[in-house]
Amino acid sequence: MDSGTLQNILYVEDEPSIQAVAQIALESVGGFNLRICSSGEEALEIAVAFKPDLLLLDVMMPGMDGPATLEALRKLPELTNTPAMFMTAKVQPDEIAHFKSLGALDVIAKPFDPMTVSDLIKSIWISNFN
Amino acid sequence: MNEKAAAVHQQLEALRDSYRDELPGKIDEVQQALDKINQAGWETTACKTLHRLVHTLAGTSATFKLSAVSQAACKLSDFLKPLVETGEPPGIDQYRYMDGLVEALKQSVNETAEDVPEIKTVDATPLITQTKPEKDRHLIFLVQDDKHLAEVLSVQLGRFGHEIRTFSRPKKFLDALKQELPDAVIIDMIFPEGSLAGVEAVKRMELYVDHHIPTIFISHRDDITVRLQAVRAGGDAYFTKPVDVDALSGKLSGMLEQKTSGPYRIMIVDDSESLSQYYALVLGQAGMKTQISNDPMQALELIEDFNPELILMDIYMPGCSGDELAKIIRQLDRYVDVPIVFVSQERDKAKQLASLMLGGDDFITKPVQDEHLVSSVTSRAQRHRILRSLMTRDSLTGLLNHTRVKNRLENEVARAERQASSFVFAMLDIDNFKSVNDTYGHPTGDKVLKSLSRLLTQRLRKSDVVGRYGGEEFAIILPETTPEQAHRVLDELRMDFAAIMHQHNNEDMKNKSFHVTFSCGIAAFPGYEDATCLNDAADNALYAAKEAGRNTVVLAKD
Repeated sequence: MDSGTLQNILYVEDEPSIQAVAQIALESVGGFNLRICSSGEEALEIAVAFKPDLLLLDVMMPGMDGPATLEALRKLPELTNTPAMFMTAKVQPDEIAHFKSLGALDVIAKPFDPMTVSDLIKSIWISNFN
Repeated sequence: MNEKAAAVHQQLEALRDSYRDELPGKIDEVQQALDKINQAGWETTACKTLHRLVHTLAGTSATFKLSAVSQAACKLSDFLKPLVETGEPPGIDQYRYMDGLVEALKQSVNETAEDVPEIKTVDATPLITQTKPEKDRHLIFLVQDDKHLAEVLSVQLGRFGHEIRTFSRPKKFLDALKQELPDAVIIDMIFPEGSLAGVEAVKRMELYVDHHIPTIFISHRDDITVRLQAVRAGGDAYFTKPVDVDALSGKLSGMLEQKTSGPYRIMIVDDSESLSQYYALVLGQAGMKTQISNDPMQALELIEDFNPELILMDIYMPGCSGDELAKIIRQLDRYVDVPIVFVSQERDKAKQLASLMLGGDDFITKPVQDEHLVSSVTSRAQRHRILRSLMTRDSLTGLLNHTRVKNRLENEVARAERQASSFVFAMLDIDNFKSVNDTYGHPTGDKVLKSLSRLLTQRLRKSDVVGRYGGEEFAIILPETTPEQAHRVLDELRMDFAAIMHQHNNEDMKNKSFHVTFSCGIAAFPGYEDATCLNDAADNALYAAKEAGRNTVVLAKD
């Protein structure tokens, strides 16, 4: 997998306002092809068909939270190795280490800047796959 | 700024505006979640929901650069986070602080919605200044893998002012012991590790720790094999499931009072100086506190001062024989249950039995063997303490019961007389309590009672005595206190209690919370002849408080 193939992002976030901002940030500004899910359950239903290059998951959600969603998605054979990133307000070094240990490339801090978050995602992608 | 960026900014502005419109709705959600917790209790799911809502609010509003809202929500989210993690409900002071934070959040939303230009920072400093110092709270380690039971116990026991730390596995509990020792342990018998894992853990605990930590076992098994294991492991109590939480709480309080009461107090009455000193030495080495009286005629006065938990008495003494003295002691209601152990050369069983009939509990024949003396005394003193605490606590509130308070009042009068010190006796009565029960139901009434008990125990000193005198009546003894000091403290408590928002679940009523007040009468000693007069004076002052319109503190005029 090389840096050229970051196109489809599966985004899981329950708060509609953040979904809307992320859509602007990732589609309008970042140029990605975004598919938004409001819950882990919804993500499980559509993920395989969408063929995401990256899983972008909010941590704190009702029901299945981010980590639980990632765990479930990873069980699908098509998604076992799909890179993932978490979005959360918790960004202490040990917390970041924890999220990485769950199988994420990195953690995006909330609140994120809609104008620059796409660049941030791209740079994380590049640094992991070069 | 290029075209695309401009378009994006416009879109973001539009989103920001529509989010601002949604804010009041978000606040309603937070309030609803909070109401649910106040009705149903601080069990973790409801608490997690509230925390998540507030956390999300903080994050999203920050994204839209609504900093006032974001800051207020952050503060509240940070406050809630430890509560979610420990599952502990907030104490009274924390509750008020939280109310302040919620109000601040609402305010920030209102201001944002009205598009106030400057961003106000929110001041949400705690409204109460004093709490009991942390070290006065007992630390309880709860080792329980059943999450639900752990939550229930944690919440209920927390209400009595204990600090509860929960561990889901024995290993975590044992690791924690290396950092800090609890005042008591509540542990389940059975864990995934094994059906006696609890017992094993307690045995290991005894190895790490140099003193005995009161331990309560919980299990669904009730057979003697398991109970024996518990006893052998050093357990002090055993509760079967489903756990009677009130009973457990009462037992725990008793055990903790035992702990804070210190070493067993043994009184030695023997006319032989050398023998009495010998007994004192042997018992002292076993960790007990002793008081010697070589003259039975003076023994009574010493008993009043020393408040012994067991009296070791020689039968044959000049002036007043042991069994006569025992009879006199038993005349005093206060000491009717104190174990009396006779020591004598008397080997005649019939005569021994006769002495026992006069108020003794046991007989030790001279010459006394050290181990026999220690074990007899220890087991009786220990059982006496447990019995005492069973008889003396109110099960709903954990406070001392009526009888105990009256005893303490008499003791305090006697002590103040001898030491020429002053103290204050206060009687509190909740105003219109009957209508609280009628309007909101008895369970809610009980919560109000528990709430007041908690307030009193958390805010008063360790040396103060707090008891539940009757249905909605409480009594407080404040040693070494002047009437002015007492009036000030109690008036503050009066106002704080009045400010508490109690929650009810009466569906018909729009307002989900209500307030309750109390009236209080205080009387100071010296100023009255004896405990009864003091009691009456406080009672009259309480009556005057009610007559004066309630929600007030009145000092008795002597």
